[in-house]
Amino acid sequence: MKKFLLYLACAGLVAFFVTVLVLGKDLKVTKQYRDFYIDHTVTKWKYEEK
Amino acid sequence: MSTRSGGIIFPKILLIYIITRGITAGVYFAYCAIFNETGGFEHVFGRWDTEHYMDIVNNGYHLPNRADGMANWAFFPLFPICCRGVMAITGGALSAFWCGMIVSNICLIISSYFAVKLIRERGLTQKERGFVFSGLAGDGLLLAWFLMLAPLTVYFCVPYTESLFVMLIVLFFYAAQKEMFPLAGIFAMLAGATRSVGLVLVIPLIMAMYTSYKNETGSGNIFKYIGSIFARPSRLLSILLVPAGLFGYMLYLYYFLGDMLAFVHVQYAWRHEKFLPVVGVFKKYLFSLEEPHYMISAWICIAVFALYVWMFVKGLRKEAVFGAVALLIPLSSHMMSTPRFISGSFVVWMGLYYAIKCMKSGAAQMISVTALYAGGIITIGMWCAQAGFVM
Repeated sequence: MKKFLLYLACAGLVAFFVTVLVLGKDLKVTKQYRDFYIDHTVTKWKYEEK
Repeated sequence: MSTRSGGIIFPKILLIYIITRGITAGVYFAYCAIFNETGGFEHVFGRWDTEHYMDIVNNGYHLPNRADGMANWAFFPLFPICCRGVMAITGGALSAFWCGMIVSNICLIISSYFAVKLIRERGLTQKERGFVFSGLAGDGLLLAWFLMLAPLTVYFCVPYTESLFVMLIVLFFYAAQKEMFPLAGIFAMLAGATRSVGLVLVIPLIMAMYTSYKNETGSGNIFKYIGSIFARPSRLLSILLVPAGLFGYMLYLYYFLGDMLAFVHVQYAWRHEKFLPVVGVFKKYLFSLEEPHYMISAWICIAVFALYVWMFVKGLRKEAVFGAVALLIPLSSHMMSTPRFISGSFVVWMGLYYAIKCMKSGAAQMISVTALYAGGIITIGMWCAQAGFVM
């Protein structure tokens, strides 16, 4: 039983890793984020002063 | 293998802690007096990355409110979570800075305690000879002195992640030494939630399991060893636990920003230059007189790699491999902060302790230890003075 539970935990972790990789493989970011952090087409981050 | 009662170590660790905090305070007060620094303790010790961590503790992760785009999601969550925990326990009576100071200093004490136990378990403290090992520095306690007073260990007592990270690395190696592999996996997972480099602990974990397998079976067959991991689910689970901390943060970043690799992409805000990994970085900075702190960092990296090779030859293989890989990762992009990363990997101090123990000349030991303590005091002063080398 203990072995089964350990294998179940392993399978759970693998499923978690695969889920994160599948979910995250496509970027769902704002244009500003993509321009600055990914494509580097802008050199200044625009923000609202508080 | 040397084993001692934990009760004998702890009071000595506390005494070393008190003495070294007294020295740190002495350097701070001397600096304030000489340079007329009036900003106060929090101003001096709460700078650079501390500001980002305190921002996370107070405000959580958020979009940057600065034009350079230096966002606080570059900093991993476990340290701020611990600070928030202290804040909750103290009912909000303490500021984020002081919560961070408490977390860092408790981790420093725990790190030192288990680091001494680790090297005793490894048998490294046997036959210590020389004046440097006398009194409060004997039987492995010299390593505690290094963690508390060697160069660039000032990070271990300020609100930086280094102290928590070192504690988790020490606990990992201690658990691995005791063949408590699931516990080692948990510590590695937590290290991965503290800094991404924590993921590298999977390598020494696999090496430790291989050593255990060879001792149990008398066989060094790699394929049978791999098979044995799948046949023993506790060991398989130990390995799978290691990346769980990092993946947890990646999932959070995906939901927060839509980018699971935001902690990588945000590095652009800190440095725009691109180099060929490692080779290009060394080529740029090894003889860079116009950026002397990076040049010094480059030569320190070379010396540390040489130490890791020596450690590997002398049998500290897991530690050497971890240290080398953990250093190669930041060197794949830049030289910035590499001395801090070296200090915060812990294994360099273990290697230096063993190297000094192996010295045949008492004079060489004295010079080495004195140089380390002097370097520690100097880097505390450099921190107070905002020297770029210690950033």
